[in-house]
This record gives sequence, structure tokens and C-alpha cells, in this order.
Amino acid sequence: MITVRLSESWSQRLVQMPESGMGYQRVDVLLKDGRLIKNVMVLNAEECQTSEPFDPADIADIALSRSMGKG
Amino acid sequence: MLRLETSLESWLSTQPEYRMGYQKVIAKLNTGETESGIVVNSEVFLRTGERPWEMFYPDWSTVVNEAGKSSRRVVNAELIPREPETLRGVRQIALDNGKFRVLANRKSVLANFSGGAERLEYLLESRRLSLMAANAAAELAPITLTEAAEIFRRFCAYAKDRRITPGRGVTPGTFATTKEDADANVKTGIDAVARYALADSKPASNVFTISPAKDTELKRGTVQPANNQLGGGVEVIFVNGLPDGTVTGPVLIPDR
Repeated sequence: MITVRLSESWSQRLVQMPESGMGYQRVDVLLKDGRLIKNVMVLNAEECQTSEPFDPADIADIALSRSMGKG
Repeated sequence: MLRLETSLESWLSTQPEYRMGYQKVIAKLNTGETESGIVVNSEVFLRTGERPWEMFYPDWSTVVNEAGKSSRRVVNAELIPREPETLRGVRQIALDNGKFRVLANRKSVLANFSGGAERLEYLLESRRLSLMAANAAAELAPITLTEAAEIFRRFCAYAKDRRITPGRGVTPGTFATTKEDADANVKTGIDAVARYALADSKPASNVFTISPAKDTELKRGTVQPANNQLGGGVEVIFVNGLPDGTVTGPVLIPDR
């Protein structure tokens, strides 16, 4: 598991979205090359915990994950 | 420590707890033996008198792995209900997840009367519905209102919690817990990680105090097992966030 730090603009967007639990959100990350990385844990709206590395500059969109809830 | 049959795990996850985080059972093993004990997190059976797993293992996944090393398994369990008189004073929290629990239970029963692929399908569906019920803890709970002078706590591994606005409010959809639950059960940052099933395993040692106005909209529920933590604490969601001036802190508590 690696940590990817989000840019300030994505963090600002995430804090406007509901949490999945205290201090974290589960999100799906869409990259500019079309890849979709599902169920990424984001801590404090800034630190992505992911097993699939990506460059934060390549993020096209982030949405709250609906597939697995908290677990 | 022993693991349970998958179908039994599914069924137990739909049944009431004896106390927070566990169920008391008479277990039937695949060897034909019968033993009394508890099932923690619907996954691991501990015989009566067996030392608590926290004394030996650092985290829940290790416990599950260790329990799985035994060839003995629990194949059936009879639940021992908690005595009604010991439930006095336990606060009843309205949850909207009853529908999913009922549906999960029905699928589990159907699985017990099926075989082969059909049985597997029912089990998977039961598990999915159980997860929905669990995830519904506070998220799908009905919106209620705060009482006058009700106080809440929020635990965070970071002193700069991004959900706290510059004006000391909170953004919509922010989680917290009640002062009563926090003060009675959380003395360290690690306590908070376990009780609120936090995703970040770093000690959540920064404690914010939240004092919303009377009749603020929120949802209340119970933290379900997640992130390799047992949960069990009270969780609330400030559906619409809170205005400036409602948050103080953080106050630091010990990490461990």
C-alpha cells in the first residue's frame, strides 16, 4: 500500500463531500488515461492509500465510492 | 480460537450481540464436540476461559489467521440471549438497516435449505445484504435532531483536521461521536481507532469538541466492524455540517 498525496484543489473538493467514516472517505479515482481505480481510501481529504500507484497530476475526477461502503 | 463456517458467519452477522462486539454461544464443532464461549465479530470463536485475543495478537487480521490454522471449526451455534434486566439503561438507537438485516437473514435461511451453486448464491447475497445493513449504521439512519447543550467529540490523527472549517464549523457529512461515548470509552488515540473503526491506524489523539445548537440535524448509529477494527462506538453524522464557532480544540490525549 502506498500513499499518494492529493493536490490542494482535490482536497478542497473532497472536504465538501460526505465522509465514509470518521476522518476518511472511500473514493473511486478516474485518471486522465481512462483508468478507474476503485475503493481508494483517502485520509483527512489529502492522503490516498492505494495499492495501484498513480500520479496525482493525472487525476481527471474523484467520486465517492458506492461499491463497498466502509469496510 | 477457531474459525466458523462461512454460512454461520453470515447468519451470526444478522443476529443480536450479547454485548458490544460479540455474541455468546453454545458452539457445535466439526469434530462433534460442543463448547460454550463467545464469537467475536461474527468470525472467531473463543472458548469460555480462553484469554482475550488482544493479549496475544496485534490486530484482528492476525487473530483471524491464527484461528484459521486449526482444523477444528464451528459448524453451528446456539445464541445465548442477554438477560433482559441487564439491558436496562442501554440507549436504543434507531437504525434504518433493519430491512437489510431481515433480507440477509431470509437469504441465509434459504441457503440452509439449498445446495450447490444455489446455496453459494444465497450465501453471497446474504453476505452482501449483511454488509449493506452494517454500512447503513449511521449513513441510512433517519435524520434526528440534537438536544439542547448536547456535546460531541471528533477524533483525528491530524491536528489540522480538514473537516473543520477555518471558522471552526464542520463541513456537511462529517462524522463524530457523542461526548458520553467518547468520555466513557476512549482514553487514548489507539482506543479511538478501535472504537470508531477508523481507517487510519495512526493514533487519533487529537480530540475536537463540537457544540451544535439545539435541533441541529444529524444521523445516529453504531460503528460497525470495518478496517480490521471491531467498532461498537456511537457515531453521528452532521448531515448539513455546522456553522462557524461550534468547534473547539484539538486537545491532545495520549497515543497509547
